[in-house]
Amino acid sequence: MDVETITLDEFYQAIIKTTGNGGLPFNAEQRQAVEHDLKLSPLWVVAGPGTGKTHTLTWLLFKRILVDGIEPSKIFLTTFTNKAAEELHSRLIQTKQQLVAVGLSQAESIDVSHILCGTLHSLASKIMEDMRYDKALRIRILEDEITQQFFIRKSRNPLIDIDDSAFWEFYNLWNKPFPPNKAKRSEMAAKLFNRITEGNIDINVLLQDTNNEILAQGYLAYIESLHEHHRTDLALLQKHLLEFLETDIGQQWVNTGLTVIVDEYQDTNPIQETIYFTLAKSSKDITVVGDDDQSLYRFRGATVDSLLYFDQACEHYLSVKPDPIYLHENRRSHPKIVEFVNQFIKHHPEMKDPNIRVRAPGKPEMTSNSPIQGDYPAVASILNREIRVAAEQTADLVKSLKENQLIEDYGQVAFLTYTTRESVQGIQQYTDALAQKGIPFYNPRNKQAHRDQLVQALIGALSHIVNPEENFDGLVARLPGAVVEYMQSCQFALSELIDSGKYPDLEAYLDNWVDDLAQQKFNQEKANYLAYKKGQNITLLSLLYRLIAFEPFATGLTGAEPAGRMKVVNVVLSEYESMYNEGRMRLKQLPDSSCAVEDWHLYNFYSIFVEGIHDGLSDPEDEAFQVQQGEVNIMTIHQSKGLEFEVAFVIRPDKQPFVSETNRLEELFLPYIDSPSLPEVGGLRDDSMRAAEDTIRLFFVAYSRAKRLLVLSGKFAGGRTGNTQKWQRILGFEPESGEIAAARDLKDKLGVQPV
Amino acid sequence: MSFIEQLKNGGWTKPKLKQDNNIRKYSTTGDILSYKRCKRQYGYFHERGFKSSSTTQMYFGTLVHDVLDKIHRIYQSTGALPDEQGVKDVVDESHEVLVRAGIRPYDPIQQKKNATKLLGRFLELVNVKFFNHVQQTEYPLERELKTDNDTPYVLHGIVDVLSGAICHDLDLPYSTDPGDIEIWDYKASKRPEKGSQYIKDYQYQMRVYCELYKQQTGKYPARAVLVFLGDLNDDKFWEAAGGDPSNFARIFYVVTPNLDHIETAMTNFNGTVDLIEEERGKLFEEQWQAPEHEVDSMTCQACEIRFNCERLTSSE
Ligand code: SF4
Repeated sequence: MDVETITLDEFYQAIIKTTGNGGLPFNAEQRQAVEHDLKLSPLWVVAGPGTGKTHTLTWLLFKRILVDGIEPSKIFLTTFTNKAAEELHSRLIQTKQQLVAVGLSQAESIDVSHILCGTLHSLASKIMEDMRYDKALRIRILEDEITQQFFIRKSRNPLIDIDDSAFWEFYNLWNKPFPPNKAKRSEMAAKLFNRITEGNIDINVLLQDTNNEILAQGYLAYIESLHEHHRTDLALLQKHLLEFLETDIGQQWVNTGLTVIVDEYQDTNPIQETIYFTLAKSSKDITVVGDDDQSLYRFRGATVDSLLYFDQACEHYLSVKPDPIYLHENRRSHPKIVEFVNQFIKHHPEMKDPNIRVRAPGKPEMTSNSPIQGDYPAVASILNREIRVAAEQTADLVKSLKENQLIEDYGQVAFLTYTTRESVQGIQQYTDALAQKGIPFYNPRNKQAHRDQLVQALIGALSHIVNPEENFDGLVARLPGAVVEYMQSCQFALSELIDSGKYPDLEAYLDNWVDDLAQQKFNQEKANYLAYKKGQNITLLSLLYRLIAFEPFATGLTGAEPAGRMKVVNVVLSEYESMYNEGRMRLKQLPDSSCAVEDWHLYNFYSIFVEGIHDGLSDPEDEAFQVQQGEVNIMTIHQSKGLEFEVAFVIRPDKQPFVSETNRLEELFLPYIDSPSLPEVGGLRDDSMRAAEDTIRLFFVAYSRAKRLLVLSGKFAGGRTGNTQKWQRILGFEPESGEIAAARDLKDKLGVQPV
Repeated sequence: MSFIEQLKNGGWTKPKLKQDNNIRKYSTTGDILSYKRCKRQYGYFHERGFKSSSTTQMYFGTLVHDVLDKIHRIYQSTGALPDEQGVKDVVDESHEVLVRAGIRPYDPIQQKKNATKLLGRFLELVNVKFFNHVQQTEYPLERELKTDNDTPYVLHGIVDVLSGAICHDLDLPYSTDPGDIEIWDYKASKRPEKGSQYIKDYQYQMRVYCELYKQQTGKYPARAVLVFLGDLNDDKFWEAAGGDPSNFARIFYVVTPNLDHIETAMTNFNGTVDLIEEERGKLFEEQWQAPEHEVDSMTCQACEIRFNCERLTSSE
């Protein structure tokens, strides 16, 4: 149904009715963005945290539809995660309903579902499917890094055989004296392949370069294997879309005139930039929204330059200049938090450069206009020489916030960290302290999930069935030492369970299996599966489902955290099965003509699946965080992107990461990337500066999540010999402003109050 | 003054709990019928993301859909339907894609033969009288609705074919009109027994589609037709029909929009959405218990979490 257009004035009248207070819900800049004339120029919105980005985007989009007469199906609206896309979609529906409710009949016929709203990956899939692009029809996607690595190994990519450390060292992915094992190689190969795809690098050019020739060949082999199995990966999905857009049908579609709106533009990579501008080629209607200070994904090939130099890209692709708008009024956080965040970003010398843009040009400071007020220390610190003490004090504070009714629920509190790994270096002391005080917490992607006793016992049980003799050495090839070690601890975890005598059912079940297999006479015709039971073939996955019905796994399934971990095992196993023999475990004949699982099958089980578990439960940046009520939510800063919390603790900010290995890749691939927003070859800042930028942006994101209270908690040694330099980075001191000698200096200099 | 006191005395305001006001999408088959079949199974596989291992069952239905979609496109661009060899080629091609993508049939040669045979017969039977009227394939229907508890949600579905008056042109024995708009849904199976749960579910699905279509366009379609292609493989039926679609009524199952039936279906749909949302709001440990109602024994037998379910004793 076509949407009838209305005037801007009528549009505003309707919006005013929805607010019920007689005014428009916009400040001057937001209004400017909403009113922006799409025919004049692209729109370049730089929006600080809590400045009403989604709000502005939503109204801007409805203005396009209702006033400018753009058809919903011609709007391409994309954001960074599925979760954000769902939220955006919900917001659009609610807005439409509001307009309908105040009697704007024209809004009724807006088909929100026709708006192309999603992540770029999901939209690429949808568009190619809708347009029946043959190359992508029914294509299977390697949905995550582990599956991608499984595939690389399964398809015997040539890079897997490169055991020369120098090759990997060249890409700065390996710096140990011994060569990496195959699992590690497949992980590094995946990383490199993704970078090539996302940089939209011309592989033929790369092939000409002697330094990169082997890599380029590996990449080509990867592409070929994918094609053979009608698969693709997430990065390549974008490449397919770009190829589709170049076909006749694709061009016809683009030429109908698309309105392109991109959220979170600060984390765009070169292939995405190319796609957005290709989509907007005929309409020249492109709006990007983002915050350079919140760019977090350089390590995946994103470049903040796409936002910083959006003007250059517009001139290059569309021969027009964009209109910059700065949303700076923060309505999220207590004014003291806003002030602190402003000071923080302003003072870092690394965030200034006379020659290149490190921050968006002309960006104003945030101003504060939050309903949250009150004269209390909204930015505070809990610092101690000893982490244990800081952790205890932190847990105490959480508890008293609740006991004193300052918060309603523990779910209003978040712990933000670099890593959610519960190890001595990480946050274990904090989780210990929470546990000791009886405060529930939710830490789903604790990096150490594979160290979880329950997960280990589960793996141990699976292994016990397929390999009761615990034969790890005599298999077709040598298993990596780490896998063998890991399996030993899994077996230990299992035997602890069994030896406790509390789980006789599980014990009997395992014993039965072992006996069955040992007594079974080998039968060639039935050798393809471990067993046939009740007419069904027993695969690894069906064993797993059987095992988790026994205690203690069954009880584990009733808790969010253990259930989440067992689910990960389930998902990784199902991915393994889909690539390796569909979960069959082939049997071989032993000299006494009984059965055992065949060596290759066992070898793959350990070296691919177990290695995947052991290594792979470690990409917390990927998974959208589901905030839980009733529990303190523990997440990485990456996961906290786009979220807000009443109380945010930044835990162990003094544990800062090393220079990211992938900064080297940025430099290495720069000459092969064709993007108008990127610097010339040689124009990158040096490694340490880029690493500093990344760290500073991470802190910026973390601090700006807090609404009512922000607390920094960590180790503070003080004095000349301590870790004051780190604290300077954490706080944004200019070096000349002097050393931080004691916690009280934080208060004097920055208004950060010790708790 | 302690830190907490400073907060208290400094005008701290206690924040309210934030509501999750995301609007979710629900489809008839993916959500409502699955939930109704067994909520525990739905919870584990749809909500919590556990993966099951069965992909082989998908093969035949997917193949048939893909081939028909392709044939429609061939007809659109060339104005002619493929001949026998042409159908075979399209089947081979679509089969190839599925197999490469890892969707494997049990007995590929036989299955391909089956598909070619029944699709060839389908084309012979309905011919251009069918394809002439196809307006859109994979037609998406989507509407924002509210449950009786005022929970907003999005109902969505995809109709295999949206068409003009196919039934009229095929001379099927209903009261038809050349101006009819119809919804068609392909099923690769044989027509299920009368009164079976399958038929009830299909009817339900069609009624919801009729309502969705009305919400989207302002009027009901003339009818929704399920076509059970599986029966075309039966030589006896085939010969008896003598190439006349009206003699082959068993493959066409027609749902005519009936206001009462549609309303009942929609009330049930809304109620189920409320139940699902309510379930989601429960504490984790209380979510997705086995349902109190009977669950079909076939469903339980094929259910991968059956051992983890108080419905069944854990015997193997
Ligand atoms: S076994 Fe039956 S009742 Fe239990 S979850 Fe599975 S389908 Fe539902």
